Amino acid sequence: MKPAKEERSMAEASLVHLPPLVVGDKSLADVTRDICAPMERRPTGLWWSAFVLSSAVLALGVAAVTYEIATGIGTWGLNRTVGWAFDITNFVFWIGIGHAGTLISAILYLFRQKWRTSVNRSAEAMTIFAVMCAGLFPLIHMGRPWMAYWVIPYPNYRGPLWINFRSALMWDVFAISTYFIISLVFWYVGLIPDLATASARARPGWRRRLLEFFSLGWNGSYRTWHRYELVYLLLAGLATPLVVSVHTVVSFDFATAVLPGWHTTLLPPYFVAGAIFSGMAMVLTLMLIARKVMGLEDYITHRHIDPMCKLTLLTGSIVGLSYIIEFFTALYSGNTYEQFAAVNRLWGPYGWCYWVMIGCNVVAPQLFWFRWVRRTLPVVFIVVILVNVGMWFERFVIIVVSLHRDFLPSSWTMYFPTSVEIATLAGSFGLFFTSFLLFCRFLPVIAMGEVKGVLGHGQANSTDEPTP
Amino acid sequence: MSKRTLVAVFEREADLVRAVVAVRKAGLRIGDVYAPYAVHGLDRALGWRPSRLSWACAFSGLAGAIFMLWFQWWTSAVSWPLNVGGKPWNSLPAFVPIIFEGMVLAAGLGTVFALLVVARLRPGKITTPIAPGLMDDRFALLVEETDAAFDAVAVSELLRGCHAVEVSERVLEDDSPPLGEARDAARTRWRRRLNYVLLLVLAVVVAMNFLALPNPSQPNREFLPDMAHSPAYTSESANPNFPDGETLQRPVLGTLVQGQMPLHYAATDDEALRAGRELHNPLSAKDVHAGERGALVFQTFCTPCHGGGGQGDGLVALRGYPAPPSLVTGNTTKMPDGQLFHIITYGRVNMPSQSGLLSPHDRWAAILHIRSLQTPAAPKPTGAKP
Repeated sequence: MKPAKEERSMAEASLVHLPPLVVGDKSLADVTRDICAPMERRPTGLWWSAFVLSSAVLALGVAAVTYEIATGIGTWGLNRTVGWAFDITNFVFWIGIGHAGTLISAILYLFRQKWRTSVNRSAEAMTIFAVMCAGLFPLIHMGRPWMAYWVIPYPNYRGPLWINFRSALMWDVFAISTYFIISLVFWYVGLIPDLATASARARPGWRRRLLEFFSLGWNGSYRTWHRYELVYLLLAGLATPLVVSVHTVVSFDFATAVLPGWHTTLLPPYFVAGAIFSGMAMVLTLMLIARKVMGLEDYITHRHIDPMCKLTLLTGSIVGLSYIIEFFTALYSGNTYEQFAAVNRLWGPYGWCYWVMIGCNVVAPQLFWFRWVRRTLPVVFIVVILVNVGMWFERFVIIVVSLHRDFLPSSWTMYFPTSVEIATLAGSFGLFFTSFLLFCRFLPVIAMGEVKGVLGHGQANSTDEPTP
Repeated sequence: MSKRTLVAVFEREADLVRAVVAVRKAGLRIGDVYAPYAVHGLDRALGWRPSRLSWACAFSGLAGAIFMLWFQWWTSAVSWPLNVGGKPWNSLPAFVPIIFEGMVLAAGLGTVFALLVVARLRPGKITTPIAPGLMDDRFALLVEETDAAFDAVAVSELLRGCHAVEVSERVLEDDSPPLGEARDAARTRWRRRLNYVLLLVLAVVVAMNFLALPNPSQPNREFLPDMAHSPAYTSESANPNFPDGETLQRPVLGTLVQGQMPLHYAATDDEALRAGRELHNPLSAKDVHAGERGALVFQTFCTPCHGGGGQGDGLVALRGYPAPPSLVTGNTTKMPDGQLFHIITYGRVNMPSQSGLLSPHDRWAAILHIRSLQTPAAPKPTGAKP
């Protein structure tokens, strides 16, 4: 047994500086019990108050959208010059939020980052709910959303007249629907073993029936695990280029236009970095709330918060660099219109939006250079809220500020959102948080199967010896 | 023939791996292993080949990409070639994003579908736990009894030596489901009944589709407005938005009718003489079309009083209305075209103004016809009726 002992001490030495991912010295059974607990007990008062609040906001949004569809797009503040404003800003904002979920679940899986196991399930759920919110905005913007199926190519009695596959908006339809479906499948595949665990514990009744139905007869067979691991890896490998392609295609909506401020090759990488930046901020926001509301402090620890803060800092700095490159492009192009668009962002009538964006996206995340900031959760919470606000303003600056003063000074105008638009934006947050709270209530928030794998209990190099 | 299996339950991952190695060294066959999570390195200990599901991923991804490439080319270049900004029908670079998305979608769905098929996972499948806690914190190793030489006692000892907490023997009949799976007769019966009900519903729906045939003479039922009805005011309807309450607004004073130049003459005889000096018929007597038009205009608007030949013997005059002077004799023959135009436009004595009825072109055409009546020697334009 000597070589094994040596191996063990080496492994301990490599781990000596890192606190455990999950604190409280949990056994495998503890993990199951703790994570299934929120599904099995009655919801707490905190959960109820959050749920009532978010569904009230959702109801406000539903009322606003109902009024808008019944009356027409005229209820928004759009005009002939600014034809895209709040709706597309919100669309890009929500799509971007989703990207961090895929980053955590797919890209960090490929990089074998063990800390992702505690947050990947809820980050993926966040992706799905964010893409749902995002998809609503173009749908509402159509004016007659019941005609939305016209964007899908299907044999019809109009010729058949097909959709125009050369349009960036069409690429968007395909990219976002693919992203939604693959994210949903990835999430569900990850859920199957945990649903089986939960159904084995559940009391007989309709909830157990449902859990059984959706766990597809999973019984923990290693033959299935063996294949499952490969499928999970393949899905991660597919989702990684997909997530990059989705925000690239979203940026094409702008980059393929000739408008100064949009027409630049910088947009795709800039959008992808910005998406992951905003998404990281939203994951942190949700995690900080969820660990308090759902009592998961032992599972979401500094070992999880800290790398997410660092990723926020990294992507935030990339975004800051992109802002500088944008100005360099305008300067170096020698193009009057480009230069005007750049100056108009800074000192034009919407200049304050630009400075809010710089303050929130470039300056605020720099606090994450300091270790004590990353460890002081209230400060982290404030910073990530600022980033959320800043990233919303970034999209507003790109879309509205570029549109409102184009080549033709006679068409220059201002855009102001109406109460209907603001209520719709609020309603999308209501939808997002309502869905997330329901998810916390009815599904395992943390991937039990994955957390158990990284606990280190009972493994060859662990310290606990079996009872003889 | 029945099949016997030894089931050993472990509490620690390391014991399981050790037992797997020991059992394989003893030359025994491992049926399966059960674990609450994917144990790292266990597949190597088991000596299992990597799954071939990556081929399913590769093939479905390739199929998705090729299909989207073909589909975009076929719709954009063959089925309905659509000219967008003069781009070529087969604009391949623009098709790349959707080819990529199609590849990812097909690969992802295809891989998961293949997993469900090979792992025999399906919604609503019923399982029975082989041992309690396998989905929670316990591990199980299944050793199959392959031949008569299998010594169950010795193997149990081997497994207990690897800290197995429980070793038991299961006997599997030929017609029983595999270990870990179950057949629930009651639930199967219930599902079959549900299936019949759904089938019946489907049949009824299809039948109703044939019973309630669409009626092409009636508009379809309108369940969403779809712009079928315009919310705009029609031109004759009342309109609360204007002070005069009418939708169709009168033109602003001084507005010119399109295609008509204003005539700067007053409605007096002197002005008629001035018009005779200044205005000339823009139409030529040789213009056959204008002549035909003039005959038609004359017949429609002038014959009631002036008569078909222009002699002042129209039906109105015959019924006692003061007869107009003849157009083909006397004074009228000496009037210049411009004066006649003025008289038609503004009227004279008993003749009312015709400007609201006849366009300037029609007035000049009518004058052409009057001239042709005045010179009967000239050949009459064809189509003119008396």
